[in-house]
Amino acid sequence: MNPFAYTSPRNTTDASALAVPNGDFALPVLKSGGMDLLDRMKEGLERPDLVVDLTRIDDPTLDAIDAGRIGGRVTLAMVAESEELRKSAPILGAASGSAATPQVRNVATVAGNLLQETRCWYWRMSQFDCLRKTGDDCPAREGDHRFHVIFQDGPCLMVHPSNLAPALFVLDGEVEVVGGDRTRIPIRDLYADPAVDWRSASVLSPAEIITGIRFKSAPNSAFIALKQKQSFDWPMVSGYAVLDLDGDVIKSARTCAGAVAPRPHPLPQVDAALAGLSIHDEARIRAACEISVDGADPLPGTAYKMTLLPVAIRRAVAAAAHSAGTARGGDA
Amino acid sequence: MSQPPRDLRAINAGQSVADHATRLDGLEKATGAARYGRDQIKKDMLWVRLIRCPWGRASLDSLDRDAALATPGVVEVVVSGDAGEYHGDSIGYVVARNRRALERGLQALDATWTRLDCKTGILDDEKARAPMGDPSAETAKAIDDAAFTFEATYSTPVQTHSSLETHGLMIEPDGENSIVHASTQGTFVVADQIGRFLGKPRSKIIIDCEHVGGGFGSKFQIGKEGAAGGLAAKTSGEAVYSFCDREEEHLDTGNRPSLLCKVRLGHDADGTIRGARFETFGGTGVSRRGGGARVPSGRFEFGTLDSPNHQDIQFNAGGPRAMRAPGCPQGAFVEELLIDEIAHRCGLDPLALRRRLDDSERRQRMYDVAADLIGWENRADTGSQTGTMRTGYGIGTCHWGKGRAPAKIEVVVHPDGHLEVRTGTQDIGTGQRTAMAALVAARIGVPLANISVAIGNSMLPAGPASGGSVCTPSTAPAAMAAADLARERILAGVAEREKLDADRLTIDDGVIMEGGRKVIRWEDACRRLSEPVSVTGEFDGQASAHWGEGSSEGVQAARVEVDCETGQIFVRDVIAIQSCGLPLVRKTAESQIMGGVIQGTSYALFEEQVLDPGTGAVLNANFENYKILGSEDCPRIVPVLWRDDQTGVRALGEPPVVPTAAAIANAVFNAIGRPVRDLPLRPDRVLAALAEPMAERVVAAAPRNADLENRA
Amino acid sequence: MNGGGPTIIGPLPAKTSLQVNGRQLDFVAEPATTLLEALREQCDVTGPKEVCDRAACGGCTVLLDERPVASCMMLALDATDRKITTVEGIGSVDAPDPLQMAMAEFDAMQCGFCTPGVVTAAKALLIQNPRPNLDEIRAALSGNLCRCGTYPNIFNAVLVASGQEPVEEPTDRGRSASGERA
Ligand SMILES: Cc1cc2nc3c(=O)[nH]c(=O)nc-3n(C[C@H](O)[C@H](O)[C@H](O)COP(=O)(O)OP(=O)(O)OC[C@H]3O[C@@H](n4cnc5c(N)ncnc54)[C@H](O)[C@@H]3O)c2cc1C
Ligand code: SF4
Ligand code: FES
Ligand code: FES
Repeated sequence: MNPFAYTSPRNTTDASALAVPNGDFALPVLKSGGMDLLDRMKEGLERPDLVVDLTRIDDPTLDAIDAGRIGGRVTLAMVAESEELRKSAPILGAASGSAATPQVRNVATVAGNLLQETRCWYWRMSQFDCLRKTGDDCPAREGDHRFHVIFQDGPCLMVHPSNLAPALFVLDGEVEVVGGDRTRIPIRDLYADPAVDWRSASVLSPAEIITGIRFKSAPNSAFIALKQKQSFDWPMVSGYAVLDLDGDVIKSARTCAGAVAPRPHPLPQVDAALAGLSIHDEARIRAACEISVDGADPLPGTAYKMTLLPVAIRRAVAAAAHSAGTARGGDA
Repeated sequence: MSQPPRDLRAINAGQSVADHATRLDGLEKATGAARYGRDQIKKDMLWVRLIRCPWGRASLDSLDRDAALATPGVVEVVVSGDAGEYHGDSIGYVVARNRRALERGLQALDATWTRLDCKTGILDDEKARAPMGDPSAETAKAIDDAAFTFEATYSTPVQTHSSLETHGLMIEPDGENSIVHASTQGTFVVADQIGRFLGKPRSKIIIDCEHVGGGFGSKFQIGKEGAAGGLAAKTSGEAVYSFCDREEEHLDTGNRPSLLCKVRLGHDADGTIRGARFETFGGTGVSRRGGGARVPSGRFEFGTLDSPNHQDIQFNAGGPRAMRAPGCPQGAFVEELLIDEIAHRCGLDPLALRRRLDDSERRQRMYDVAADLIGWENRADTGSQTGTMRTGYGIGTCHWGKGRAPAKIEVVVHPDGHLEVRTGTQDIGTGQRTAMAALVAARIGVPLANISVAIGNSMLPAGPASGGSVCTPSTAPAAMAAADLARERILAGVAEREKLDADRLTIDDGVIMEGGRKVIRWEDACRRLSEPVSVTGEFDGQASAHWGEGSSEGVQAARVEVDCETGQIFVRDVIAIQSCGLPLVRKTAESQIMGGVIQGTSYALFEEQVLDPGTGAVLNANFENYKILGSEDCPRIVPVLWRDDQTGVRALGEPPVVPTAAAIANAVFNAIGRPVRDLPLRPDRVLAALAEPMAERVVAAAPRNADLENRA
Repeated sequence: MNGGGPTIIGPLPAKTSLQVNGRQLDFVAEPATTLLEALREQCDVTGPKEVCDRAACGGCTVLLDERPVASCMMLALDATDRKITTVEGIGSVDAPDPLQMAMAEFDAMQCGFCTPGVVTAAKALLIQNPRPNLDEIRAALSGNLCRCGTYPNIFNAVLVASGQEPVEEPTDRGRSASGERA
């Protein structure tokens, strides 16, 4: 790590001010848990001259959990353990509890999880330049891209790393921000269109700080990660589903796919096909989930994800229907 | 009888010399008190790191030595090359006062490279892509004479040892001497190798490796990191710390080489194999050798064989080093899956076919127990299942040679009755120190609590490196000899004083007896000693009285579940039956077996080094994407110590890792009806296999479980 | 330091204090120092190991206010006002914790390099959940890699340390093919 200064502001106003490049510090950076930031600093991808620590801000709302809101500094472990959330939106605990390792989840925050950088292995190695850095090419395209996209929504082939972001997509979530001229950003607008901007981790300005997330309650919601390895692995593909049920009938559905596109990938066509189906109508639910791959354009090395995606969505729908929302991983 | 201890695996009761002994350094390890080489940190030592090539092949364009030297804390920059032949290849090293200075010095060096064309795997080589060669005339005839021919190609990946303690050493000046705290599996190898770099004679070098954080075959040499550390210590005269980081560990400290194996064989309807040709290609990176695979292993009858036809294939990656049973797990994977494929073609139970092809009497009996413990009778016919989750059963086998090396063990008897076992050899986690103590205790007849062990230091009596699983087999006879000498000395003293016949004295649980009569307690007998008594037992590395009879053979059976929608494999149970001659300490022996099974499972399912096909850069030199089995992937394992009436101590470190991947691959084949012929058995590969037609059958299946039905 | 705003530490080395195993440890280090580096290189606390240095193996696990964290991916400055417990603080050779005794009894280590991290993570589990079942134990240890392959013995050690029976071996054959794990 390069030399840097460190500061722990006590309020978000100071933190915002410090996070903007200025005369004293040209490369300030915000740090919550640091699980992603330190990784990048160790690899030399990030060389801040000032680390602005957000863990000592004096504001209990940053740590609060309610039925429809989670403070930005809440850790993934706390999300996973929350009884409140298990009732209101079990998908959040399931997605958080399946991410990373217990040690990481005890430190990683909700805000940091949404804003973490890609895990593309080319990007993470400092010797490779690429489209997402300063270059004109994507070495993953001709290279080993087994963990990359099937939806080529932009020239960069990374998949979005966050377990949590797609959950917020299906919950119609918003992020609360301070430091700019807006206070809420719908989650669907938090990430730039990868066809236009393939370099930014989000649309936030340097001064903007995420202080919380808000979401609709969804007792029938579930998350499924299909992992190669069950103890700590990134999902090969993940499926997210929220169902609005009338008895056994799906009044409306919200589904989203993870680890297949540069952003969380909502599946409106699946949602439409699920609407009106009985949760016991396995054949038609299966057919509805099959179309989750519509529009996909897999790479040679990601063709297997075409098989996995409909399965992940179908299993998420099934788990949501039976409000077993905390199905952990694919070991079901 | 009192309650059996809660930690006893009932099946292994009474199988070892010391059923209840616990690892002597267990508490040290569990409390963090155990100090490893990597823990030898001083505030004022120098840190060393190699300058490494970031690409598969590249030439150095420029490098700013002055900027590096100008970095605060950097003391030396040594550049000795200008090209790299693989990612991780080194061209020099940097020395600095602390790790941050070291990193920044390397950064300031700002090496720029021109990437050159490179090869990244076995299949980049034409020789490996060429069609199979013609078998010898004799083999060709045997194949032609058989009713059916079968051809297939198998592959296994590069696996890295991934010891949790990385390679390296810390060198500390101590007057005239240098103390070298090394992470090694060869105390005396380090002693011999480091002097050249340190500029010191062997007599002024002391190696300490009291605790070693794993090696698995990769730590038999001091390596470049050790050499650079030695040179830096020589130049500076200061304490020097030179350890790899995790990335370097993956790149440049050896690996299990990859394998491509092509087979053509002829078999009859009853599964008899009439003749076979095996071609093997070992992926040795930049090394010229070391890629051999044991296939066929000799355990099964293959008729007229045309083998070995082996070639090592070079490409731009770090070279191999011995890894736990070099060449064997990859060979077993090919051979055992091949046998199951033949069995399936002929409509045979693969266990029945193995019984016919395998002439080891001991393994024949092991098959019965393995089948019983895994529940083989529940095995469905290969390819007969249709659901999403399908269960499969598979079997694999191993055997191991009787390697041995000279060894010395000193036993010191102190006047307080305490015994000290002294051996310079290292304990890399195998339980060597505990095995020696337990053996000496049992041999003399005193409680284990009377014994302490000094180990892992070059000032102690010389012993072998931990390789080829020879360490315990070779030190055990020396320990027995030393224990016998110590026992005789004490008994002779007692006999003389008490006017008894020494030959009639026995020692039972610390009490010296004559017939049924108690003569004197061991402690009290020792109290008569005016000074400690030292005796040394020696094993000549050949035959000696204590070598005994025994062999290492094993059979493993696995039960897996395959999710046929996702291609995920869940290994549920592994029965691991292993003979190792006379087992010494039950718990550590079981641990060796379970560790082998776990590494084998990890190899079967997850592990592979991934090279970028364009640049040769290793894409997964970390524990995020180089995947190693964790707690939630761990099968239930039943380690079975198989003693028969063997008397000699035999290999146990390596054999249990051999059959596991094979057994799992067979179980997957059984579950899904198609073989997956490439390791690791990744979900994408399972899905691709499932998209293929069911494996061909050339003979209709025999009625399943016929005798079972008769019995019912 | 700048005016009335928050204190700025570094980039030069600055005095830092950590509360480790009930003791205050003072040292001078630049902000670019991880908690693991501070413990091992400044405070001579070498129980936590540096293994992957990327939060992927658990070898460096320490407790921060009773929660296990990867000390390699945390700055020492992030931990200055927290209670840090390392494996050394859980027990010693002379006064071991029951968990450490069970680890030794069940041979839940080979090379032992992962063991400090495993003990620390398992201790955190037992603090939170005094009688964990096997699945909970597996989950709690899913961030701890053991290359030697000691997991089954670790599970038994944790079960016994929490007053439960170890997993019985070896012959519960004939379990349903749906196969709940051992
Ligand atoms: C071994 C390992 C495995 C992992 N596996 C998974 C996984 O399976 N699924 C998954 O989703 N994640 C996984 N992760 C990633 C991990 O979840 C994220 O790194 C973590 O959530 C980031 O949170 P943090 O608080 O540590 O963020 P930090 O590292 O502190 O910050 C991340 C980024 O967000 C910015 N930032 C942080 N907080 C704010 C804020 N309040 N406002 C504005 N900007 C902010 C920072 O500047 C930085 O750029 C894994 C990580 C590791 C190390
Ligand atoms: S996928 Fe994106 S991040 Fe990865 S190498 Fe290509 S452009 Fe860079
Ligand atoms: S060393 Fe910190 S988690 Fe591996
Ligand atoms: S005991 Fe060696 S890594 Fe766990």
